[in-house]
Amino acid sequence: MLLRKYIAIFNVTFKESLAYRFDAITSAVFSFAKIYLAFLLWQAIYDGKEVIGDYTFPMMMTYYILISFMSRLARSESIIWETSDEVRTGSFTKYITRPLKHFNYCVARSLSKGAFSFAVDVMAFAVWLIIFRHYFVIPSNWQSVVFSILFTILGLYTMMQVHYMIALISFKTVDIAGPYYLVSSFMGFMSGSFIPLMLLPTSIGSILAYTPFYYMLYYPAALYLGEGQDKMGLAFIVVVGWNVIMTFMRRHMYKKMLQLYEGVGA
Amino acid sequence: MIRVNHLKRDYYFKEKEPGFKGSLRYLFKPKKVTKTAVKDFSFHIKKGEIVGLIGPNGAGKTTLIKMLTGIIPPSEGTIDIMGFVPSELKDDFRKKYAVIMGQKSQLWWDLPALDSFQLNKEIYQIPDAQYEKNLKELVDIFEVEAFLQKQVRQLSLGQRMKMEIIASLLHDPEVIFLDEPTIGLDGVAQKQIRKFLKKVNEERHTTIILTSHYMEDIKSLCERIIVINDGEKVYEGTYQDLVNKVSPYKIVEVVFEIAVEVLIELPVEYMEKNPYKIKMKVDKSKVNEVVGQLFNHYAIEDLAIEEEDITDVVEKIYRDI
Repeated sequence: MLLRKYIAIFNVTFKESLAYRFDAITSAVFSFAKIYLAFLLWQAIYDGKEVIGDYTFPMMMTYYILISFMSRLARSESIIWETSDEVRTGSFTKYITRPLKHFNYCVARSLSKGAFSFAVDVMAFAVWLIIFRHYFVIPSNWQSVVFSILFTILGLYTMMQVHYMIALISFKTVDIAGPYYLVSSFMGFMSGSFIPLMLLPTSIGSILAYTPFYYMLYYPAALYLGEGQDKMGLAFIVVVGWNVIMTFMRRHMYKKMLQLYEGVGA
Repeated sequence: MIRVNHLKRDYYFKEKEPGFKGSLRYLFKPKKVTKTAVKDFSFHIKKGEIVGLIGPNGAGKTTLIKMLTGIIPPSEGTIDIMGFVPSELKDDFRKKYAVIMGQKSQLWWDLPALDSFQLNKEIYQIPDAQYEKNLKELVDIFEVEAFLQKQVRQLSLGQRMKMEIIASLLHDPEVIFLDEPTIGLDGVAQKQIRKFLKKVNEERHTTIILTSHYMEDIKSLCERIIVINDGEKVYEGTYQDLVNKVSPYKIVEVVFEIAVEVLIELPVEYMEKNPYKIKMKVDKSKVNEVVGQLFNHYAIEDLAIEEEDITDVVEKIYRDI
């Protein structure tokens, strides 16, 4: 019964996304265009080389295609801008005066936006797959795909928790752009969005493996490519552990930050 | 039903002086200021009452509503509403009240209002039959059936406000807080909202706490009013008692059949005087005497006795109390 309200938020958000379908389709097509830029860049870097790090050129291209797709599914970044705007204008009041949990509301909205992106992006993704079919690696066993999907879900949830905590800072600072750009650049690098983390020195890679960022994008993509399956137990403990810690942190932060809310504008 | 004792709310903010120097100082050493928006405020409200909160801009009315609905916690004092402490934000409490703030919206801008209503049905876990009944009733009262499928952003201010009220009341709240519900609306929409609030109060015994700058809202709805000025309660009682207190006059207007010169001594203050018409301010206790004398001495074509202009009364309330 309680879940029904969040399913309703999921549905309403999906309808809202439909109102902006043209924007969604064009951004899907252009966001995948960065795969082509990665193709040109890595083609030049691989020039004559078979392997860089542990990846062949087709593995590297597969990595970028997967990262692009996963990044499009992660829609939780909008929590930051929406919350910041609602706190600034006082419209955050609607979460306080109605029987709602704000975090659950954000999860339902992000999932809905992710589902909408998935529906739109699958077509654009298929086009790019056809273009790069010679450079896309099909995994040799189904376990790689299943574990990759499971860790992608965990990774996206972790990302959502981080984004939510950044959003809560807006109760204190109102303007959230500074903390956002700082954390998102840091997170982009640490999660393997810019370059695969196995290209970093082993010592740095080992340290990153104990951070939540490692499991947001890099690890699910590596699993798909047949890497890191031997470390899955540890990976699971680290990701779940971080999520438990972050759950306590965000709940505590929410309580503290709500004390600062003034509901301005009325 | 509502018990408020010794409520106080402080706001802390940083003050910026004008000019470049002021901006620099604000950056490195901002001046911290404390403003007390509500001071030692106490009142009780019984179930089924309609109470009006009035006061000039910045008096503390909205701060009071925010504390009563748990949007902000009080700095000192206690609030008990139906056994709940609002700032604890318990779901059981949040299901029992509705708050409508003129400037705040819970409607989804890009979707028809009906989608927001259905969402509220799930949020408040309203049974299907109750939802259908309430929706039909509210839509009929506000005559908005034709706009239910229209995107909220395409609605006029009045239509949007009506939709806002419908969205807030689908779950049959026991208490309704309204902060300037008729602000910016035309006379027809204002009347519809007042009529509806009266009806919901009479039929469901819903307790209503209302702030408004339109004294017509307060006069026609509220059995009791609380006047707040500079964060303090300055009056609590009926509207009529307050009007009698600050405005002990009636306005008497007399039109004569033929041109006359009023020579008799009358205990009045003339506002307008010409051979065909006089308009005067008369002490309420002397109205009968004055009117009687005029009838005895002159041929009167028309007579009107009215309360002092409501805007003038409001000005006096804020100035004199």
